[in-house]
Order: sequence, then C-alpha cells, then structure tokens
Amino acid sequence: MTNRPFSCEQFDAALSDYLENALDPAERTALESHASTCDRCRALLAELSAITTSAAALSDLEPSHDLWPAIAQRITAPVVALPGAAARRESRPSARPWYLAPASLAAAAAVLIAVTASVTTLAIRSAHTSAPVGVVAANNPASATRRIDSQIDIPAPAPRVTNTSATRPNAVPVQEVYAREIAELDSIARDRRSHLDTSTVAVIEKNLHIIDQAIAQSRAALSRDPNSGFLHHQLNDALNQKISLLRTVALLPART
Amino acid sequence: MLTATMEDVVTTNPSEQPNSDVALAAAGDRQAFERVYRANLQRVFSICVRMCGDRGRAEELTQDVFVRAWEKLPLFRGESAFSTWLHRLAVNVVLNDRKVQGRERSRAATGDDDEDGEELYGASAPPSHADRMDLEAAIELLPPGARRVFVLHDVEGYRHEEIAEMLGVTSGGSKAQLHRARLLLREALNR
Amino acid sequence: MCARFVSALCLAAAMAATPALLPAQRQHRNDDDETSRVDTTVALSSGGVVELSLISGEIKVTSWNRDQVRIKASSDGGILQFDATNSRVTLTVRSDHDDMGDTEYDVTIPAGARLITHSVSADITTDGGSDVEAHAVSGDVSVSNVTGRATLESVSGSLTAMHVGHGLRINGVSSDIKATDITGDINAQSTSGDIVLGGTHSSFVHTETVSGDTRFGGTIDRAGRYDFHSHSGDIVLAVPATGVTFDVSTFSGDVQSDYPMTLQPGSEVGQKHMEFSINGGGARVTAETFSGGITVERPGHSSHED
Repeated sequence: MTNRPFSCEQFDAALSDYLENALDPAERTALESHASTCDRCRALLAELSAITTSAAALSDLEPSHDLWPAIAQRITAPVVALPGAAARRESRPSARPWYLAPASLAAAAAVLIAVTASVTTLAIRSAHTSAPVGVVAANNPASATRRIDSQIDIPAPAPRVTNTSATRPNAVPVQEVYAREIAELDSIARDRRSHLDTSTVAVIEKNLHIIDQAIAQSRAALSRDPNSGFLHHQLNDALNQKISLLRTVALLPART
Repeated sequence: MLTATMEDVVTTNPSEQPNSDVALAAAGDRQAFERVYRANLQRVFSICVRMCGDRGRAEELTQDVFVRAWEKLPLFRGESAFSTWLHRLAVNVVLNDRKVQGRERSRAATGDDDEDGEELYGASAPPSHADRMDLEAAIELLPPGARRVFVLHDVEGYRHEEIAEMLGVTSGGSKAQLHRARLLLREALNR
Repeated sequence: MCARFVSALCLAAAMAATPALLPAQRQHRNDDDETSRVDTTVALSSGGVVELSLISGEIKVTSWNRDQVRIKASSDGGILQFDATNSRVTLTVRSDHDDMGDTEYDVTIPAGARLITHSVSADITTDGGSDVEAHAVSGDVSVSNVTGRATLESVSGSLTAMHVGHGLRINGVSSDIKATDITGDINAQSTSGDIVLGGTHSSFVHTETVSGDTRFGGTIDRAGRYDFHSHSGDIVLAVPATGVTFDVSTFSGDVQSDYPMTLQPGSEVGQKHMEFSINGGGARVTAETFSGGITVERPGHSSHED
C-alpha cells in the first residue's frame, strides 16, 4: 500500500491485521493517520484495543466450592501398592500417545491376551488346591471375543505352556508376576479411562476398589495361614478378577 | 508467572509449580498432586468457565481436567512448563465436552463456521438490565465459536496457528472469529 | 443442498423396492433438518451377519422368517453409515462434530441371522437370531430367543438373557445379571452385580462375583460341573435331590444346607470345607467364598425363587 488516502472501509478491512501486528510499516502508518483524523475510526480502534488489553488482564475466577474432594475420590489409589509401577511409568516412551492409534489398540490387546494367558498358566501351575475348579476359574479370565473399532477380533485367551523355568511350587514368584502384569494393565487401563464418560469411570473405580479390598482381605488371611491352598486359590481368584476388569476397561470403546 | 509464550495474567498464586511437586505427583503422591491442584485451580477453572460459558458445567469440567491430568501426569516430560501443559489439557477437555456442545446446539446459536452472522448473541437473551455490562458477562454471551477464539487468543494468549489447530479451523478463520468477537463485545459494552 | 436431499429420497425409495445386492452407500446428513435417516429392506443370505453400532440412543432388534433385513434408523446429529452385501449388513453412525445426539435403530433380522451389536450408553434389546452378541458400556442389555449362543457385556447396565439355546456368556462389572431358560454352557461374571440364573438346562455353569450375590436354580446333569465363586457375595443354590457331589468352601462365611453334610477333617477354625454327596454323587457342584454365605437348598424351598 502507498500513501493514498485511507477510507473508513479500508480501515475496517485492515483493522484486524493491525491489531495482530500483521501490517507492514506503510500500512500501519496509513491506518494510524486515518484514525487520527476520523472520530469514528479512532473510537473503534481505541475500544477494540481496550478490549484486548482488558481481556489479557482479566483476573482468575473461582469455583463456588472446593473441588478437591470430588477429584480425590476419583483418583483414589488402589489399596494394594504395586511394586514397579512407578518405575514402569518413568520408562514409558515419550511424546505422542501411541495408545490412541487403532493399530496400537490391537497391539495392546495382544499384550493383554499374552499377559492374561501367561498369568493363567502360572496360576494353574502354582495353585495348591487339589480342586480343579481353581483351574477352571483361571482358565476363563475375560471373555470370548471382543472387538475394537469393529475391525479387530480378539480370540479368547487360550492357556498355553510358557517357557518359564521349572515349575516353582511356592507362591511368591506367582505374586510377583501378578503384580507386574497388573501394573502393566493398570497403566493401559488408566490411559483408556480418559476416553470414558464420568459415570462409567466412577463405576470402574468403585469396582476396582471392591476387588482391591477382596485382594487385601485374602492376603491378610493368607499371611496368617500361608499354607492354605484354599486361601491361595481365593487370592488368585481376586487377582484374576482385577486383571479381568482392567482388561475390560482397556478395551472399552470411547464415548465419542 | 507463566511461560514466555503466553501473555501473563498476574494472580496471587503463582501457577508455576515447583518441579518437585509435579514429579512427586507423577510418581503417585496424591498430596503433592493436591498442591498442584490448589496452585492451578483458578487458572484451569477460569479457562473452563470462559470457554464453555456455564459456571456449573465448568466446575465439572475442572474436575475432569484434574482427573485427566493425574492420569496423564506420567506422560508429561517437561518439554514445556507444567502450567502450559495443564492449560492445553484444559482446553482439550472443554472442546471435547459433548454436554457443552449439546447445550450450545440447543441454543440455536449460529455455527462456528458462520462467517457472516449478523446476529449478536444467538437465541439467548441480549444483554438485559445491566446498564453497563462488564467484559466477563459480555464474553459469556458471545456465540460459542467467537467466544472460544476470543478466550483462547485475547484472554489466554494462544496464537492463531495454535488456535486453528485446537479448534480444527484455519488461521484465517480464527482471525475472523476473533475480530467478530471483539466487535460484538464492543457493541455489548457500549450499550 | 436440495438436490442431495432429493436424491437421497429417491435412493431410499429404490432400495425399498428392490431388495437385492447393494453396494455400500451412505446417507448424507440432511442440512435441512439435521436428522440422518435410513429406512430400507435388503436381502441377507442364510447365516449372514447383521452388525449394528452406535454410541447413544437405542438399539431394538426383532426377527422374522424372511431372508431380509429391515432397517429403520435415525440420528439426531450423526451421519448414518449403512453397508449391505449379500452376507453382511452393517450400520454405524459417525459425526464430524463430536456430538452425535441420540441415534435409534429399529431392525428386523432373519430368524437365523447372526447379530452383533455395540453401544456405549444406548440400551440394546434383541429378540431372535442364531448367534447374538451385545456389548454396551452403560446401556442395559436384554437378549431373548436366541437359537445358538448369546454373549452379553456391559459395565454398568443390567444384563438379561432369556431363552437361549446353545450357551451363554455374560460379563458385567456393576451390572445385575439375570438369565432364564438357558440351554448350554453358562459363564456369568459380575464384580458387584448380582447374578440370578433360573430355569437353566446346562451341564456346565460357572459364575464369579466379588461382592455380588449369586442365585442358581436349574436342572443338574449327572455328568455336569457347576462352579460358583464369590468373595463376599452370598451364594444360594437350589439343587434337586439328584446325584450330586458338593464341594463347599468358605473362609469366614456361613454355610447352610437342606442336605446333610459333614465338615471335612483338617478344616481350619473358622474356615469351612465340606464335601458331601447326595444320591450316590455324580454332578460336581462347587461353591467357594471368602466371607459370603453359602446356602444349598431343595428347589421350591425359597419363597422368592424364580
């Protein structure tokens, strides 16, 4: 633009860019000099500038009440502290959330199947109880077929023999495996929860809490009677329930 | 005090979090997270209220923001200031909120891409009895698209490129909405 | 804009008139009234699959004896996507605006078709089908008259199955589960919801809850296996006096039985483990809880039995 007379129309057209500092010096000068001679345009410029300045200076607003209790309830940590969970978080890959990509959901599902199957196998191997019903329970952790994005079928986890070292009859290694796998699933499920509606998240949290209480009670009883096959079995049942629920959460469709 | 990329809004509570609290919260320390919450609550709530235009809904959304922040905290790697990350998260939560969108839809306000809407405030009541409307109230009455852009740009300090990406519009569209918002606000404030 | 509306109408009319092989097609959002609709009938070969998905609203499915699928669907704010081949009919809804409003599907399928339904908050009600799957998050699910296998899932919605011919799998979290007149294997799980199984004809039943109560009443196959597990929920089993071997264990719950039973040697104080048989044994019935009560009763004993 050159130094020809600047009309009010041109002023209006250029005003937005002016306020964005997007005009070149010649245009700026033309606009400003027009404003200095035109009441209407000067007022407009002054008022819009004032709005911008006031907006940037708006003070913060406060909610009507403390929101923390409701938030705290929703982020209630599990009763059972999981070893290695913090370490797991720190070692996560960075940047883009991979779990949102459909292909990655399938990958996550594959992980879940493998996880569930291996836990299942170990539970079978290590259960003390003679009643085969424990085996049956562990054999059917989640469901037959789930679909992700209506595209991917996930077959039911089939227990298969894993390449673990020789069968270990005592319970401790099994518990470590459970803890590790629950932590892994928990991480995936936590990410998934942000895609669910509030009331569903509340139901899930509440039921995870119920399961965690069951786990804690079983553990407490087991600590007083460590050789009870029945109690081992009960504990494994509860842990399987937790895995099943976390797996369910991880595979739920998003609300939008 | 916020980062250099955003216009400063001076508050009594600095929203720059001591690194230790964020790190502790990311590792699961809920008390540390409560401190993070208290330090950032007002900023987050302000964004939510101004962007969605409804205090009640904004309180719910604010909770959602912090719950989501808790869940995603382990993913925050410090590439930006924590407050920047949190505010961005808040904007996303508001934009994705279907209830707010449903309400806006039922207001029969003109759509986001309605560039030539002459109507000032959609179906909602025009500024009523107040002799002089204050800016806060005028912002609330803006049509949703214009309001969001105005809040993000003039109040929160985002650039048009960032706003365009967040709202799924073009930079030009964002600029046009901003200008429209300012003109509408001017009109409301001058009544 | 108007031309598109008219052509959509013509397409719908054409489809209704000739239910033959159809390419994939899409109902466009009608800018005039913002409602997207599908109203059509298409052919589906025997054994074909009907798959319906939506987020919120309602899914209703009935069946008839024709080899056709009748679809009536409308969406407040979403765009319906309807796809039909000779062996598969698919209906989903999407939106560009992240706000779909409510969508309703009213679908009639061939009695022998397979049915797969997905929803988030919508209720799902189906009647008919050879194999039926219904997955919801908060929606209630009610499935009936399935000749083959039924699979129901919800996180918080109720789950109801009636008259299923060849196996049932039900998974809920806080959902209450009710299954009546089921033939074939039954697998039911709910974390905190109650499970009520009545009038079952199954030789394999497996239920699990954490805190929900379980009630079972059905025929017992002498060669069958019936396992009921809970942590703190009660288990009530109505078992006829046929040949059954019971294996009942609880850590701290109460055990009651209409049938005589003896405490096994070696049981810990407070823990109860009973194994006993009636009528020479046969079917294996196992009930285990941590703190929930276990009751074994004769059918008809309980006043509120289904």
